[in-house]
Formats: sequence, C-alpha cells, structure tokens
Amino acid sequence: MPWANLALLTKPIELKAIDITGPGKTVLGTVNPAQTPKIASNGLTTASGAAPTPAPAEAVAFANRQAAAVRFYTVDPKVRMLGWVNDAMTQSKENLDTFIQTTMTQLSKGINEQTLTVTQVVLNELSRTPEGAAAVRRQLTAPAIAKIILASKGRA
Amino acid sequence: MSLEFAGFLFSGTQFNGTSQLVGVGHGGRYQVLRSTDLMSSGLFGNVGSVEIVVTDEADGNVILFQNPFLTLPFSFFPDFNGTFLQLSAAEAPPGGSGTDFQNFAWSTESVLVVAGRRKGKNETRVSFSDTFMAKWKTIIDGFLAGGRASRQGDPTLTWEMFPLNVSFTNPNGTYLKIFQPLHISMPWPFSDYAASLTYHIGMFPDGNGHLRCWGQAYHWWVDSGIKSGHIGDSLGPQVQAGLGTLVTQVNNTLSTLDGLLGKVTDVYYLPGHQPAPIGTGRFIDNTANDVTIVIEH
Repeated sequence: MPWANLALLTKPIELKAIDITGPGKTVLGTVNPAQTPKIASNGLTTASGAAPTPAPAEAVAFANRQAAAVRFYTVDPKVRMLGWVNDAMTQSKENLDTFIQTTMTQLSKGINEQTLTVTQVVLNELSRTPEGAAAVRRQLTAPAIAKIILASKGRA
Repeated sequence: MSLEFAGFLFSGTQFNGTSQLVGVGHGGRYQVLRSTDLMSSGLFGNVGSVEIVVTDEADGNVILFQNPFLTLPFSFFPDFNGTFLQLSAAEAPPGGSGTDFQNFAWSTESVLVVAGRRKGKNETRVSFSDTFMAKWKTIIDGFLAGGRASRQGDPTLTWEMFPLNVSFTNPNGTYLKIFQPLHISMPWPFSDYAASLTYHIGMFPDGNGHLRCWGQAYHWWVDSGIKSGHIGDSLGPQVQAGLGTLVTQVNNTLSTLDGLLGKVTDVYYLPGHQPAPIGTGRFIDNTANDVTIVIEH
C-alpha cells in the first residue's frame, strides 16, 4: 500500500495523564479505536485553490469581525521611547518593584487597548528574567489583576 | 478595550523562572502565542506552571500545544496542532479568583488563550467529528465513485488556526479542516499511488442569526511518479468541485439547528472533543481527534 511508504507521517494518537497540582481533575480525551490512526496532514500539497464560489458577504464580514477579536502578541519597540517609561527607568533607582508600581500607576490613569498593550509589553520585558518575573508576580497578584479586569469594564 | 481574563505562564514549576502575562480583551476571543513568541520569554518547550485570573466576566482557558516532532522550532509542523494540555478556570464571583496549576512538565510549542462562556451569553457545543464524520464518508465516496481514487481510511477532522503559509487562507482566520488520505488504484504495470485532499471551511452566523459555513480553500496532493500528472489531471477538478458539495451538505446539517438556539451571534472553536465545559480543571486531547464548535447565542 503506497501510504505505508509514508509511515513516518503517521502518528497514532496517544494520550497520557500527567502529574499536575491544581484544582479540578484531569480529563483525557477519548480516542475512537474504530478510527484508523491519524495521519499527519501537514505539508502535503501538489496544488491548491480558493473555493470556486466566493464566500457570502456575511461570512466575509464575520471573518473580519472575528479577526478583530484576536490578539496577537506584538511588541512595539517605540514603547521604550515613551516619556513615563524613561522616567520610571531613571527614578526607580534600579528597583524592579518600584518600576512595576510606576507601570501600574500609569495604567490606572486610563485603561484602554493601548495602555493595556503597553503595560503587557513592559511587564513581559521585565519577565524575561526570573528576577523580573518574580517582581511582576509580587506586584500583580490575582486580586490586583481582578481589579484591572473589572476596572477595564467600568466596574471598579 | 477591557479584559475578559488574564493569566501568567511560567517556565518554572512553582510560578518561578521566566514568565509571560497573557490575556483576552473585552469582546475578544483569542490571544495567540506562536512558537516565536514563546522563545523570547524562555517558554518554548518549557512551561511548568500557569496562573489564570478570572472574574464573573468569562471562563479562562489556556491551551498548551506540543509539537509531536519535538524539539525543533520553525519545523514544518504548524502552531496550535497536536497533543495539548488545556488548563481552564471557570468564571468566578465578581471579586475575582486566581486559579493555580503547577508542578507539571509540558513541552509547549505554541499557546492559545481563549475566553469562553462570556457574561450574558449562552453557548451550545457541537462535535465536528460526531456531527459530520458519517456524512463526510458518504459525500466523498459519492464523488469518487467510478474513478480510480478511493478513501484510505477515515478522514482527520481537525482545525487550522491562524495559519501561516497555507495557500488561500488568512493568517488571522480560524478554519475547520478535513484531511482525507486517498488510494489510487492503477492498472498494470503501474503500482498504486497515494494521494490526499484537504478542505478548509469556516462557520459564521448569517443575517438571520443562523449558523452556516463557507468554503475557503481546497488542496490536493499526489505521490511522485510517472503517473502523477495524469492522476492530478483527474483528481484536481474532482477535489475542486467537491468543496461546493461539502459546503451544501454541511449547511443542510446546520440548518437543522435553526430555531433551536435562538439568534446565533458568534461561533468559535476549541480543540479536541469537549462536548461539555470542563469548568475548572485540566483536559488532555489531540487536535486530530476532533474540534468542538462552540455556538454563542
């Protein structure tokens, strides 16, 4: 059988539980044994084409709306040029906790898409080291994050 | 913009090591972290603990995908595929709640952060595989009948999320994908050939608030050999025409939901077979096993 020549692309599904500490329980998916082993479906293309019938206008509008609901993680290097970021860098006296507090104070002045994105980028920049990540977690506790979520919806 | 929920990924097993803050914005559905995004935070291949903070605004789901061909980044295996670990925190009282998962080792290649059961919305879940597997076999057996091509086993009913380098798809898009291996019977002296077809379709609520689908793209492949071109000349047009048949049949099935759910306002996908919300907990499955279509109404 010619597909036997492509056995390397065939990888039956194997699901195993792992040790994990946390609430709730671990549920394993159910693999239907009656189905043949799943063949990896990536990278096999001789030819492609768009659907012969164009998508309905409503589908195009929905796809555009859905695309707007997706956050890709993009880092704008101009963030380092922001005035408050440079002030925080100099005035924090190399104290990560102080820098993060300044960042959160800046966010509290107005929560919108731009300020949330900038805050995320700044905090993730610090979190590239274990020390920075630890400082972020010290300051950004679960109650603090919950306050931000609610404040962002006008429910402070 | 506001937040539906937020969380942290950590490289260490006890909320230590390097980390990345993630979240989904109000009205949003997904945050996307590709393999390249994880590398900059030291998280590629290396997530050991996760904290999810939710309020009563939505459930928070953090889904960690493994690359089955393991350790190489930039491999041809696309993001958001393969075996995954889903960590979920059900919506909490308004004051908020942090849900902590730790002490695990999961070789993570990409991450999707998904908001579910948003406040004020109802959801109904439908299994892609349960709903369409039998119908698909009938459809494809029908349009291959009389020719040299036949199904090689069951199809893979899966998804393609934010695809890069997949022709005729949008990197901002989310698609259901059907991959069907084919067997091409050849006359003497030629040996039989392998082939395949792949379809990408999408779902949307139409102007009447009914769930429908559209066809996005078709792809086919034939084994290399003297007869490849001849086989492709016949198979290609069949595959192209089959997409329209598939869309019609899927819409016929979806129309049976009309009136049962009220007005459909949104539709999104979760990986694997999860016909009911797992609430707060963990779920391990594979994207090749199924896709769960979540209808918001």
